[in-house]
Amino acid sequence: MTHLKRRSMVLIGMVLIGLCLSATLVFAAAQDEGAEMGPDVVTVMTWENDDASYPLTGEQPIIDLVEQELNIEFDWRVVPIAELGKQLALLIASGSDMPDIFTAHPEGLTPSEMADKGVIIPWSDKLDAGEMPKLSAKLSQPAYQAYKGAVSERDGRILGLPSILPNRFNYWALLIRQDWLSNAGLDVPETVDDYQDALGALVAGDANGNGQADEIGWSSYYGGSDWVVKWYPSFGIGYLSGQPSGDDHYSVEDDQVYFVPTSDRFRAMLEWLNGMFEAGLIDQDIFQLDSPKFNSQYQQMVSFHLWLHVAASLTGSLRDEQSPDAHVIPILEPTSAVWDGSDRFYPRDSATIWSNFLAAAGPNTDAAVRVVDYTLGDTEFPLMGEIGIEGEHHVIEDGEVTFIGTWAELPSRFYPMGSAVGRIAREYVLYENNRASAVEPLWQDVRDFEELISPWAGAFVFWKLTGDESEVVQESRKGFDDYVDEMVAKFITGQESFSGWDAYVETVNRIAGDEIEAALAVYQGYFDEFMKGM
Amino acid sequence: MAPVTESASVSTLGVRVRRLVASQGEYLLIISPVVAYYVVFAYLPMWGSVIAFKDFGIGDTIGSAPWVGVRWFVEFFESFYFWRLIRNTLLLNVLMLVFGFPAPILFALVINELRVRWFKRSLQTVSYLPHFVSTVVVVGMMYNFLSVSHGWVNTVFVELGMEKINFFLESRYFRSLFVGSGIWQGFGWGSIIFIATIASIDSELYEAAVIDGATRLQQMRFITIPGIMPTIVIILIFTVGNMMNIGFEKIILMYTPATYDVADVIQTYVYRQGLIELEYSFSAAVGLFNSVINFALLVGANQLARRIGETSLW
Repeated sequence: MTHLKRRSMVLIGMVLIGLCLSATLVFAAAQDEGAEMGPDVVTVMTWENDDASYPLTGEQPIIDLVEQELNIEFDWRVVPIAELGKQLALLIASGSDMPDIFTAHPEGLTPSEMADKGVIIPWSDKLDAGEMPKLSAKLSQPAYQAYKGAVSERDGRILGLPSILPNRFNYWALLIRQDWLSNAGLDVPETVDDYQDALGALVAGDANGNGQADEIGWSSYYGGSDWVVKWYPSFGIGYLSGQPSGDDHYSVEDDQVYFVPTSDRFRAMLEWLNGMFEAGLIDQDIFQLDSPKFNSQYQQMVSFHLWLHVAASLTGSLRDEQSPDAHVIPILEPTSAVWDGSDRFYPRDSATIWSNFLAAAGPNTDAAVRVVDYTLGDTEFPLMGEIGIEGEHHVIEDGEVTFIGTWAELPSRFYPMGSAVGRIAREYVLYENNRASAVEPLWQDVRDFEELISPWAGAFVFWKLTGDESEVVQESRKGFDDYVDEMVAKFITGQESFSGWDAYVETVNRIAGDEIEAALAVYQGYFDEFMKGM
Repeated sequence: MAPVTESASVSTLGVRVRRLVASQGEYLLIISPVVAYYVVFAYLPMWGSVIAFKDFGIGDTIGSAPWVGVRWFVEFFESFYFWRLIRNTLLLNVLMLVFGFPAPILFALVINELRVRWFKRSLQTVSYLPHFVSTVVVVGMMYNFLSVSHGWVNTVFVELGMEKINFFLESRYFRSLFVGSGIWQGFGWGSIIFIATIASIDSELYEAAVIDGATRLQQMRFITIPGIMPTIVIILIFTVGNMMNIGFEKIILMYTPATYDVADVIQTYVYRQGLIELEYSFSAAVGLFNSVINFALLVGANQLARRIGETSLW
């Protein structure tokens, strides 16, 4: 009996091991077969505004067109905007499963550090090696020299290829429901106090008229503490003019870089935000928000910050979904007791922080290079990326472009594709003459606002630190970041009284005073050098 | 003589191995995947802990990164966050131990006393269900129930004329939410082992106690609890040995900057510093420190159990 039992157990063990081996062999064979038979697979990791479910294949003829043209197949990894940096950090940390192209960089790793440490291959290496003939030809044209200068590092390398939006304003604007203001007989607020009063009246007055107290005064696209930066302009903190890209802890005033979180302006802003929060005019879930949640409740919001150009598409969406009178407009940042609005600044010719990076450990680098060369360097494709395919998305008669289909099918919906592999060569003229004309009068709000802010337009400071400089800045953040985030949240929510401000400042200096000084020196050195070159 | 002795010893070892394989071969075969799992996923990665003593960055190999001694440990011990992390880690885990550990035992005792069979079965089944709900979903449910803007809990508060409470923004509620949800999710599933142990207690003991006039409470006190005590001790040692590791993913889902002061634990700090800020060596040092404390707790709990009672792991 025992003998039989043993035999059975041995048999079962052998069968299990055999099954495991067979499964492994079949899987490996399938992998090999797939690699040899199909088109080159290019993995693109990018972000999406809504959630991770936006269809990038099947319903996007322009993507099919790229795939056919280059005999490639996209493998999209689309994640919510707030998660992309974190997920990339995890992939880089694990050292495996990297995409070929990705469109952001992790918080703790700047592009120059990524290049120095071999995470990415600089595009300039590929351009110099003649592997991107179309893009090379385009960048050698006189019209693209300013662009080339803007995207090049101080050592001349091009690490990522970001969107450059020539002659356009590209920033997070304060948007408000004009239709609700009008219905309540309110003017566009000009000061933060007026703004608070207006929000209070609309939230209390059932602005959306559904009989429920579900209006949200102001909300954000991001949770955590990142949203606070959007209120910098109203308190004279140079978020738009001199803030080092991606680092909201430092800013510039009178050509001097300073540490924002312990400044008087920052305190004034937190005190006002605390008043807004305690009055119930800021989304009470603000610290747990993410972009999907924002998208699920923007119909209830009186006001919020988003990209300027989104005002038009949001109006369109709200008219489809909520009310034919819906109207979202951008407004000038309201002034405050510490900022009179005389030194407004709006960045023109700006580069977005979203770049197309080429991963050194990507599985199919050559095909990725071909994709970028075509989508960025081809003379026709960037226009297609903007206005779609003729006959499919628009018709041209007498040189005039008319879009066909519904709002949802307009080319603005190509953004994930554009963000990932295109968009750099969006000539202003084409933009104005084609897309803008198709969605009038919605775009007129944006155009009018751009006209309004034009007198305050200026050149954006491109902060390009070296790997070593970035490490100094990073070291300072390691000390204070968590504590500052925590205290900002506590001051705003009223868990910490402003009588504790001095103790907070003292603690920040104790935690990371020396490191902050070192970071200030780095930023100041770069800023001075940049200004000399202006 | 030495070579002869060595050869004899090798030969003896060979014979013993052959005998072992002959007599226990099938068991060795069955256990081999488990051993392989621990070797590959638990022991070999220990080599990576060496980066806690190096300045390891992206692009380095473990061998090529320069040695920095105990720099990262010193940096962590001198950090502003050190004592806060230690306090939060211990406190959350002690609270889970104090309130979470007895919950399945009490539930098992209650279940054992129930006599209505269908109710007993239903209660058990319902109590197991939360275990199968993922942590993400549990936290999502908590958000939805407790949200200031649309949660039913706050809606009830308002109906009762009370003030709304922002549970996720106020530090004082974090620990209660963490421990409470942990108990809710785990007490049913955790009770299985105790219910099984109670079922294995000789029923003649209860019959004899009834004849002696013992009440239900006395039966529980003098038969059931002593009967499951060895299991309680073993589970307690395992729990204490794993104290520093529990629930950090739930904390990441639950905490906000406003609650860092009570919610931030060593593992969440390691996650932020290591995997978000990419400070690999620093976070490895902090993680290693965490493991050392865990190991000390395991050994300490085992020693204590051996001194107090007769049951211990080794």
